Parts: sequence; structure tokens; C-alpha cells
Amino acid sequence: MNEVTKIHLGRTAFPISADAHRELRNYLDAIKKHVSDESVVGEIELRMAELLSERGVSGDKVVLPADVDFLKEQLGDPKDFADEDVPEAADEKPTDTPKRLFRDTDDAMLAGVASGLASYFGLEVVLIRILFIATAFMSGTGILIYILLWLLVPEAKTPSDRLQMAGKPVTIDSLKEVVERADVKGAAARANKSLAGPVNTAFKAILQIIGVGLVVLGLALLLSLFAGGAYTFLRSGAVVQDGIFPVGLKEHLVVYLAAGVGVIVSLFIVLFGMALFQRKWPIRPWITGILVGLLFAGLAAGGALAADVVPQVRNRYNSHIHTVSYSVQPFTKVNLDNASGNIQYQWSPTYSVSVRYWDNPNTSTVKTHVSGSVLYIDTQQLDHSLENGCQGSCIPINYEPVITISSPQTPTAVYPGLPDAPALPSPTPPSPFKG
Amino acid sequence: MNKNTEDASPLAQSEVQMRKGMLVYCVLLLLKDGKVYTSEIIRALHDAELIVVEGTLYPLLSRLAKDGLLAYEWQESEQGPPRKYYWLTDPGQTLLLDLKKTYHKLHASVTTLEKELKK
Repeated sequence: MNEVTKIHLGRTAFPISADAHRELRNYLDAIKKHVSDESVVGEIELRMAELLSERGVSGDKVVLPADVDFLKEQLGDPKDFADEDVPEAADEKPTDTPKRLFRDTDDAMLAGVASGLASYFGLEVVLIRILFIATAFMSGTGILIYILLWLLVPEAKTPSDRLQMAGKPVTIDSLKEVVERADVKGAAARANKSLAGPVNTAFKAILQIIGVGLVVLGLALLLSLFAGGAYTFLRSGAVVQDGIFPVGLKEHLVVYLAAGVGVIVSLFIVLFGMALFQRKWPIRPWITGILVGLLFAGLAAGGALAADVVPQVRNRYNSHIHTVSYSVQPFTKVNLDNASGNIQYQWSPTYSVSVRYWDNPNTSTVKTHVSGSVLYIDTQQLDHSLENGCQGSCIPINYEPVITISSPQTPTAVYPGLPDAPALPSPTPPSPFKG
Repeated sequence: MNKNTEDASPLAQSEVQMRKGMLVYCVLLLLKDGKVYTSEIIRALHDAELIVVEGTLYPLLSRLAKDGLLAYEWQESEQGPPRKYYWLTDPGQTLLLDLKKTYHKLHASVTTLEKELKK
């Protein structure tokens, strides 16, 4: 039983038997390897059509292998088609063809980077994969290198790419070998790798789990960005405490740029997760390019603006900070029963208590007194009504006063009723005796 | 592989080189009087036993056309596929004349050499 298909030579369609078709296809492909000019190939096809008609093969007559043999005899060996003036790399005896780095997508776990590297260096793929995974834990170095190689290294698409990847000379014979082997390659590769099989399966499973995790993470980030963004927008756009940040167009721009960068980064996390799962980059290269471009543009613009804006924001923040110092009698103990806030200790030649607070206009609310060489600090009358200045999702300013106790020697803490109370942080004063 | 070793024999190689050297001249000669289409060129060269297989001719014609020595146009034919007609351009004509001189000179030299050896 011989099937009949069709082949187009020039503009004429010929019915052709399956085996003759295969033979003719191979012959034409071999010729194409020698003829760089596409129009010349067209001419050769026309000539084939002409020769066939002259031979009486026309209309409904089926082209048979004998007819193809006749064409070969008339037209000659594929290498006769090579132009003598053009040096033909394939004709030379290549003793050592340099290997080229390709991504081997035939044997890929993800994008074929590891298997391509394995071909290039002549190592086991599993080794390279383990190396990638190991370095992935070194703050993501492996992942970064993988993505870079994915973007930079071309995929081995044609048989000649595959030969170059393996460092084999690209000749008609070797090409034929690759093409013929290609039919059973997947099966053969799977059969050959009985040992690597379970490892591969494990890799795939791990990659898919990580992929799902990344997709979930990315989507969560996106969602929170959108939710946070919408909320902040409704609240007239304050990120940190009303009136602190952002103020003015520039600072708002910084916020929007940061949000945009966040969205793109989250998108990439989702995309990378999908890529791990389906082992193929899910979107078209040009869209990826646009996203990367936007990311870098956003980072650059945001960075430049932020550098401009940060000092202003810091000044604005500092302008709300007030510090009041109280000189006190000498003390050796401290009682903080009625004190809340951030208590610090500092060495100083004199005894004093300084209260640093944010935006609290009432300066006399922190009471200090010394009695029986015990320092009492009382913040109970501190106005806490301002603590709710940040309503909603913005980052609140810390209204807790910072109380700094200064003395020339370490006081001991007194916490009546709290036997195991923690001691004050030990000071590291420069010893006055040494100086 | 077998063909390569065959072709590598000194006789075959010299013969191939000799034919190839003549081929450009002969093609130009065929086109001297006007437009000729590819298959006719092939048939003429084949009949004159200048080529054995057609393959060699396609790259040659395409290169000559690319170098501006030949011009061509496609014409529909009543029977079969369209035909590509070639003719000589002005530089082609000049080259033909030059090659003609070269060929005759060569021919004369070879003849002289052959006669000298006969003595």
C-alpha cells in the first residue's frame, strides 16, 4: 500500500507517492543547504516540474520513486549546486567544529538552559540542575543567572543548531542523521535515562510546586497593591501620616512609580511561576521586552525623583519633632512605673531627662522628679489623642515619646511589685577616671 | 562518500576544473544572439557534452545575473511552467569578447605546445 500525497514544484501540484515524496523532500532540503539564494531553489523546482512533464508525468499521473531518481540523475548531486566562488563551510572537513551554546529545548526541564550548558561543557544535566538549585538559595543567584541565560542564549531550533550545540560538523550526512533521529528522539532519550528518570520527575514536581507558590505570591502582591492603592487613593493619597508624605506632585509621582514598579515585579513573579509550571515563558518576547523596559524606566525615574524628594520629606518629618530637656537632682535609681514610651539611657556628666516627641504641643505633660535619689518619670498625662493621626492604611508615625535618661553613673531600676523586671540598658560611658 | 573519493582522482579533478573554466565562456556564447531560457541553455550544453548534470548551472547563472553580466525575465509558456529567459548585458558582451580572446590565446598556446612536443 502506498499513499499518495501532493507536492508543489514551482506553481504546479503533482500527485506523488509517499516514498517518492520523502525522497524528493530530502533531495530538495539537501540542495537548499548548498544554495543560499531562495529564488534559485524556486528555479530548480520549476525545472523539476518541466523535466517531469517532459517525461510524461503530468496531470493525474503519480510521481514515483523512479521519477525522483531520474530527476536526481539529471540535476546532479546536491553539492553540485554549490557556487564555487562561495566557500562552503559544509564542504570542508571540519576537524574541530567549535561548540556553540544553545538552549536544548528537546531535553528541557524549563527552558533548556541547563541541558544546553550540559551539552556545551560535556557534563551531566543533573549536575548542572543541582548547581542551579543550590545557587538559587544563595539569595537567588542561580535564578537570576538562569533567567539571564534564558533571555540571552538562543534556542536550538534547527537540526544544524543541534549539531553545533553538540560540536558536530554541519554536513549533509550529519544533518540527515539528526533529522532521521528526530522522529524517535524523545522516546530514545526517555529510554536512555532510566537512571535520570526519577530525578527528572522529582525536579518537575518541585518546579511545579514552586511555580504554583510563585503564582499565588504574585497574585497576592498584585491584589494587595491594588487594594492598598485604591484605599490610599480614596483617602486623598497619603502613604505616611497626612501632611508628611506624599506632599506635592513630585512625591505623588514617586508613589505612583513605586506602585507601578511593584505591579510589574508582581506580574513577573506570576509569569515566572507560570513558566515554571508549564515550562514555557507564557507571554510573547516583545511584551516581555516592553515590561522589562517599563520596569527599568520606572526604577530609573522613581530613583531619580526619590533622591530629590527624600531630604524634603526628612526635613518635614524633623520639623515635627520636639525635644525638651529637664535638669534633675542626682539619682541612683529610676522608677518607671508611670512611664510609657521608648526609654533610653545615655551617659552624660550631668543628670537630666530629655523627652523627644512627635507633634505633641503639650510640653509639660511629662513629669519628672527625684526623691530619695530615685528618679520618677510620669508620662500618664501625655496627650495621646494624636496617636490616631493615621487613619486607614497609611504608615503611622510613632507618637511614643523617646525618653532619654542621662546620668554620670548607671542607675538601677526600681519596679515595685515587679521583682523580675528587666534592667535598664547598660550604658557604655567613657570612664571619667581614665580620661 | 564514495563519490568524493571518485572525484578526488587526479584525472576527474582536472577534467572538472577544465570544464568549469570553460563553462562561463560557453554560457555567454550561447546567449550571444538573444534571449534563451534556462532549459535551452541546459540542453545545448548537455548536447555539447559540456555538462553532465544540471545542478552546476543554476548557481552559475544566478551568479552571472547577480554580477550584472546577464539580465533575465520570466515568461509564461503555453506548455509547462513559466520560463526564465536570459540575455547578455553590456558588461556581459564585453566579458564575452575578453573571454573569447583569452580562449583563442590559450588554444593557440596549447596547440603550439602540442606541436613542439611532436617534433
